Amino acid sequence: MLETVYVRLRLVLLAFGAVALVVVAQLLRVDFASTNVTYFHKLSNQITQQTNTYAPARGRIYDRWGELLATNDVEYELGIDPPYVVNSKDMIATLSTLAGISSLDVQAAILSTKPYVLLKRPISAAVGDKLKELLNKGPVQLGGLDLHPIAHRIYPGGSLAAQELGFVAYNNDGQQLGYFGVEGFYNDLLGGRAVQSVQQMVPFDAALNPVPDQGADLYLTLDRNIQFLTEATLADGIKQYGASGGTIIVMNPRSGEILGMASSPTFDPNNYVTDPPGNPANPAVSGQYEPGSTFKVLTMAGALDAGTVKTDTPFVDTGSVEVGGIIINNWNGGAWGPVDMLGCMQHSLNVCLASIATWMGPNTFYNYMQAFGIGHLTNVDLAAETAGRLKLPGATDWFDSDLGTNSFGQGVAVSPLQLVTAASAIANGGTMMQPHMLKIVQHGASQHVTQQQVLGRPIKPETAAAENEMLAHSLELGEGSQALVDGYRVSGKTGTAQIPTPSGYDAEQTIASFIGWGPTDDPQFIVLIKLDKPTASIWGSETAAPLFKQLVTRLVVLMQIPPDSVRHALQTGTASN
Amino acid sequence: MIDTMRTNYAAPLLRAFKQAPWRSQTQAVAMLSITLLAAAVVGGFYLAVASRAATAGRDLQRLEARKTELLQDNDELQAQLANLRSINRLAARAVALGFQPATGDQLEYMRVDSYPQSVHLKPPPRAAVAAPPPPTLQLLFNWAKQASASLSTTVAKLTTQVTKAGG
Repeated sequence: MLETVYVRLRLVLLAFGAVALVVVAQLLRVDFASTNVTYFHKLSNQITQQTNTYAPARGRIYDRWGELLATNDVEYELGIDPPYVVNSKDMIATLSTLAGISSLDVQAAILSTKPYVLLKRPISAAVGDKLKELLNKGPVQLGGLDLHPIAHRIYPGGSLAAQELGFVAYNNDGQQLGYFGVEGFYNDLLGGRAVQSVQQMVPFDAALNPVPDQGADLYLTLDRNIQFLTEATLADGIKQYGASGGTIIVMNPRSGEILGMASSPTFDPNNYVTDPPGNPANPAVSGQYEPGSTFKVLTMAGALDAGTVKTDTPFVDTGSVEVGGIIINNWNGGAWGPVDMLGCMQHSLNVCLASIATWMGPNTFYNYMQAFGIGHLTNVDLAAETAGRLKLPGATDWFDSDLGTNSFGQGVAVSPLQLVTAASAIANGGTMMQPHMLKIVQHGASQHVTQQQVLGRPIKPETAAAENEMLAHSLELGEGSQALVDGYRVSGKTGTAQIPTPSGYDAEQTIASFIGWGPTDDPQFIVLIKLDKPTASIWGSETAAPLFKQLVTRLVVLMQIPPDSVRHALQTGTASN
Repeated sequence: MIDTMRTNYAAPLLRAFKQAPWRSQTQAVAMLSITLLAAAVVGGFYLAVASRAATAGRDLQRLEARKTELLQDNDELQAQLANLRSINRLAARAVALGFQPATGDQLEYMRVDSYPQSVHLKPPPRAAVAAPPPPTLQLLFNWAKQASASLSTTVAKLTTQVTKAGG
């Protein structure tokens, strides 16, 4: 009897052993010998591991004094996990009322066979917080609702410096990407780098979340107060002179730092979804136009530097000159008789400048224009810069007459920043500094300060000094006198450019502009004012020039530049107080 | 004589004892019990460690979630502050309070040596970085060390109490 029991027990043990062996063999086969080994590993990992992505916080953007221009807060991504929806009615009613999602969309999401359906991204923090409260405390049943916090970019100043900052949008993967301006140009620096970590779920083994490579904070050269002044002045000017738009740039000619830059129309980067900008590109760097008479400062600089003329070289203006088969006239069709180079600039004589260009010859003239960076990118650190257009001798579309017209800014296209950069050489002793927007990069505890770079030296210091003085004097005597600022000597030139159309130049509308800098003996700012199609007057001397005065009167206060008399007294130590 | 008798009787008894069938069964059962006990101890030990790790993991997750919430709150507060300090708001507030932009003739300039000074931004204070956790084996070793120390203390206390009671 006992023997039989032992035999049966052994048989049972044997059977169990055999089964165990089969199981072990199968496990080994699946793990090592199966053709689907990758599939089985993947399946196993899906069950036992969870991969999480940790997105970095996007870097903040500050002005030169540390005032916030762009920062982050939280919004939500709203989705539904259809298998876990508890009460369809509550879900539909709540989401359509609070989040503004149509009932049909919510219903379709609930009936979906997918494990997760994205309904809306982003939704505001206020709506998200309200939904979170309802989800946790009721009274409605919102089981199956999935609220996921996501980073949201905000611009505290609204439209302040919108075109310089650009904006941030989400791509299809829900990642933030910067577009246009600094956000676009420095997207890699600002965006940081996300990291992934694999968490063991079976057995559960949580570890500290990995820290992603956070985005760097950027300090710009912009001065928030000067930017505000620039935008307010431009808005005033557009309203006052009935312009359709315009641009103002304020730059430090010694360093190339852009202190203020405004263009109209602009947009609010906080509302780019609800109120998308027609063209979010920055017209100050992406737009190009024919500069007209403001370009004469470059022609004159080249001629003075090449020795073609001197400041007192006489010229007899007969009111017209023929260059390359076309007749060039002055802006008012008049003849000014005998003048010198100062008179040419004072009265902005096309005939004089066209004659000077022909004396220089095309090679010299275009060499100087290229040295000033015309037709080339300035490589400013803003997205979507244009190089403008300078036709050169030898090109199929260049004609002999272009030498004459280009000399006074016709038939040549520049971006506003390009013109400011070129003219800054005259204000800065013949040296053009690289225009830039970034001052400091702060990444964790490390700082990188942008070094000022020389972009070029198109003219000699003595040439720059001579023309600087000539332009100050011509303002004091000539058509740009409305640009003069009480207490400060400034240099500059007005411009009234015709607008090219497919059928020739527009007969009625112009681009009125003024480029100037100061104080003349110690230039600390250079300003370009450009008004598109002003209706109050077509002339730069009557629109852009007084707007320059309006801006600079406040600018010198913000930049703490004393009036010339006070500054000279302080420098010599004879100030009364 | 007696010794010889003892030898004669003891040897077969010892042999019979050694060859008794119940003894080999007892040995097998004892071996099995020891094996099971060892497996149970190892299993229990593993479960204890795993449950402690899981509990610590959950705590860690909760703290990480709290940290994320606090960082988000911080971001929101900074954004609110930036909105309050926005230049549009400040300008409107200044105008409402009766201020107006200063004009050149309202300013007085004076010479101040070493002004303006160049501005250098200081790097922000670094957040305290948590030390990386020790490896799992070290955690286990630490736990065993602590448990051993705790056990020694308890034994020492009990010994003292017993000695006192005996004295």
